[in-house]
Amino acid sequence: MLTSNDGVRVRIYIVVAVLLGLFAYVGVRLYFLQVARHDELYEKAKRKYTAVRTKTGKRGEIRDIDGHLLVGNVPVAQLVADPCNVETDIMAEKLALLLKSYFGLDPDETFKDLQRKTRQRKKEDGTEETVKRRYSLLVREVPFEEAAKFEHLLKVNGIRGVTFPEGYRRFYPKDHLMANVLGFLGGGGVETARQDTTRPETGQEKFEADLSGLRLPYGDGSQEHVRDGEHVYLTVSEPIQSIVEEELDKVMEKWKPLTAYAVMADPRTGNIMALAQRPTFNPNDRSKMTGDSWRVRAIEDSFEPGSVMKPMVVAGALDMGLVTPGMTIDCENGTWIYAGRSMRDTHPAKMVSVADIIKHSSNIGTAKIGLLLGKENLDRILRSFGLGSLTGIPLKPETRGQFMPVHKWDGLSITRFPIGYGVGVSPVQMVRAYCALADGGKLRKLRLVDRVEDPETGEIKNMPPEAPVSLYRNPAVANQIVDLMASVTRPDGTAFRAAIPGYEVAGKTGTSRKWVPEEKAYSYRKSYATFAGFVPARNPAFVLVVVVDEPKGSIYGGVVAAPAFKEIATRTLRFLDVKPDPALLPEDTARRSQNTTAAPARPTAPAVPARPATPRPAPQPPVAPTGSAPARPAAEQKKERKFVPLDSNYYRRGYQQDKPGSGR
Amino acid sequence: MNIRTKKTTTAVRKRPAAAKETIWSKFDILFFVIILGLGIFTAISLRLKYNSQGVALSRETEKIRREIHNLEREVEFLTTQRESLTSWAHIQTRIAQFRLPLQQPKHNQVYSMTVNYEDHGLNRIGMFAHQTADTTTTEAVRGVQ
Repeated sequence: MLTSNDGVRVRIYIVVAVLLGLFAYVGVRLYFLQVARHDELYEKAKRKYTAVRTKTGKRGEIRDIDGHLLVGNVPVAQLVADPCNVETDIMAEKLALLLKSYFGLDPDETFKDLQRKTRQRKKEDGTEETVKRRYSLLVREVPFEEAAKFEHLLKVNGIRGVTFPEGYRRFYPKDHLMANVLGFLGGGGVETARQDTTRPETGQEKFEADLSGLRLPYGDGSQEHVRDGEHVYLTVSEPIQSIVEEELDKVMEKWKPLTAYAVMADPRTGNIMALAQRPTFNPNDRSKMTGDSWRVRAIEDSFEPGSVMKPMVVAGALDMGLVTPGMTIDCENGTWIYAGRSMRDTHPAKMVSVADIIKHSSNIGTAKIGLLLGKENLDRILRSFGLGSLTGIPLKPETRGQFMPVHKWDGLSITRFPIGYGVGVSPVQMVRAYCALADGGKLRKLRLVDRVEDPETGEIKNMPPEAPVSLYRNPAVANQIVDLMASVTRPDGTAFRAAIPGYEVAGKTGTSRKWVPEEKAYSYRKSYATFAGFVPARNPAFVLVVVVDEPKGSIYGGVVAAPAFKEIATRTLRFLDVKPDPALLPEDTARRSQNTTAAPARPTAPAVPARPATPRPAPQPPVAPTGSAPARPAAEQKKERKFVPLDSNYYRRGYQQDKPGSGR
Repeated sequence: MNIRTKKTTTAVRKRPAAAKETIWSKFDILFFVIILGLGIFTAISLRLKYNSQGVALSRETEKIRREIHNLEREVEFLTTQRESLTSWAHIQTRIAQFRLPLQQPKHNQVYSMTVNYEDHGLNRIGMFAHQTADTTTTEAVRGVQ
C-alpha cells in the first residue's frame, strides 16, 4: 500500500524525469544548433549584423611639370531612390516636384518611376519571380554642393528613401588646355596611355553594425586595401602651354586654316614643353566634340614638311665633308629640270653658296646636295635624325611617317626628299630632329611623362631621359649649321618675320604644297605652312615647330607660321626669363637697357652672357613672301596648277639619278 | 502507558547550539549571495554603462568621421575649383573684365633665383619682381618663400 510519502516521491520522479527530458531536448537542440548547423547559422547571423561597404580609390591625377593640376577628380554624388521606402503617394509627389525644380526632371515620369514598387527577376532555373524594387537611379552625377543642399531639403520636407552614394567625376580644371594630349578615358591621350597606372583599386570594408547601420565599437571587421591611382607629372609647363594655345587661336582666327599645331621641346632633355593643336574640344563638355578634334594629330598625322627638311640634309653633307658653308653650287638661275621634272627656286641665282642655299631656301641647291650625298647616305642621314621612327612619346597611335626604304625610291626621290617632298613626317618627329640640330647633333627621345607619384607613400618615380645618340662625326658641324639657320631669320632671310629683337633665332621656313589625289598633282592653293626653329640660337631654351594646314590668304611658312613662332617665342622667353643679348637689340633700346641695368647687379640672375657686338647686315627691303615656293601674283595663286614635266627626256642633260656627283 | 522515560537533558543541551550554527551559516551564505548578487549587478551595470557609452562614443566618432569625410570632399572640390580659377584663360578674362592696367615688366626688372628649401622634395623658384627707377629701388616678392 502506498503511503503519502511514496506519492510525493513519485511526483518528484515525474518532475525530475520531465525536467531531464527537457534538458535533454535542449541539449540535443543545442547540439544541432551549435555544433551540427554551426557554420550555416553563424553565417546567417553574421550576414544580419555585418555591414559591407565598397570603397573605391581615386583615379590618379595628371599634373604639369610644376604640379599644376591638369586632370583631377571632383566629388559628386548619385541620387538614388528606394521606391519601397518612399511610402506614400504624397511623399513621391513631393519628391518628384523637388527633383523637377532642382534637376529639371520630368515630375510625371519620376512619379511613375517611384510608384513601381516591384520588379521581375529571373531565377537561376529560368523562371521569373516578383521582388521588391529597391533601387532607382534618379540623377547620375550631382555636384558635391548641390547634393548636400538637396539632402538638407529632403530632411526638412521629411522625405525618406533617397540616398546619395558618393563617387568622383573626372574633371579638367583648365577646360580646353591641352585637351587633345590629355585625352579622356577611352579617347586616347595621356588618360588612355596611362590608365593602367592611374586606375584605382576597389576594396570592401566589412564591420558589425547595429540596426541603424552604425558600426559597433566591439565588433569584428575587416577592410580590404583600397589604393588610389598614381599621379602622373607631365613634362609640359602649363603657363607655356597657355601661351602656345593662345597664339594658335590667333593663327586660327587670322588664317582660317583646317588645323594648326605647335610643339615645343627642350633640346637638352627632349622634354615636350608644350603641345597644342587646333581645333580642339572641351573635355568637360564633350557633347560638341567632333571626331577630328580629339585626335592628337601632331603625333598621329604626318605631312610633307617641305623646306624645313633642308638643314638636316645640309648638316649631313657638312658632316661628311662633301660641302662647306662657302662652297658654291650652280642653281641654274632658278629653274632646273631633273628626271624630266622641273624644279624652281624663289630667288633665282646662278652660283649660290651653301650658306645662301639655306638662307634663301634654294630647292635646286639642296636637291643637288642630295645628289652629292647619294641615295644611301641621304637615307642614312634622314633616318639618323629620327625620320621614319617613333619619337618616344608614350601616346598611341603614333605615326612613323612615310619614309620609303632606298630600294623603293624612284628617280626623283633623291632630289625631292632633301626638299621635304615625297616623305611624310609628324610634327613631333620634326621637333625631335630640330632638337638634335639645336643641341650639337645629339638625338634624344622625346619625353612627355616626367615622373609618377604614389599618392599613398609619396614616393616619386623619376623617368630619366635616355642617353642621346651623337649624329655628327665632325664637331664643327654643330656651329656651322646653327650659323646657317640663324641667317634665315636675318632681314634678308626667308624668315625675317620670325626674328626677335635681342635674340638670335635659328630656324627654317617650310611651304609644302598639298598633294591632291583626285588630280594627281600638287595644289597651288593648299599647303602646309611651317616654321621650325630654336632660340637663342647658341644656347637654345627651346625648339618650336609651328605647322599650319591650309591657311587662307597666304600659303607660305614665312608669312603664316614664322610670325606665330615669333609671338610664342617672345612670350616664352619672357616667361623663362631668358635675357636678351644687348648686342642684338636695336641701338636705342640697347642704350636704354644698359642705363637701367646698371643699377641693380644681381649675381643670381641667369642672364645670357654678353656677346661681342656682331656686325649686323645692312637692312634690306623685305623680300617677297618666304618659303620654298616662288612668290606669285594673287590672281595666279588662286589658279589651281599642276606640276608638269617641262622636259620628258629625263637624262637629256646627262644626269644619272643614282650617281653621286656635283649635279651638273 | 508510556513506560519510557524522556531524556530531556540531552535534547535541551544540543538544540540551542545547532540553531545558533544554522543561523550564522545561513547569514554567511546570505551575505555571500548578496555580495555576489551586488557584484554581478555592478558588473552588468558597468558593462551596460560602458557599452552604452561606447555606443554613444561610436555614434559621436561616426559623426565626426562623417564630418571629416565631408570636409575632405569639400577640400577636394575647392582644390579643383582653385585650379580652375588660376588657369590663364580665367585670369585673362578677369583682367579684361576689370580692365586692369597691367603691363609686362622689362627684362631688367625681373630676375629669378632658386630658393633651396625643402618643399616635398621640390625646389621651387621664387620670382622676384625688381622695380627700378631713377630715384627709388624697391623689391616686391611675388612667389612662395
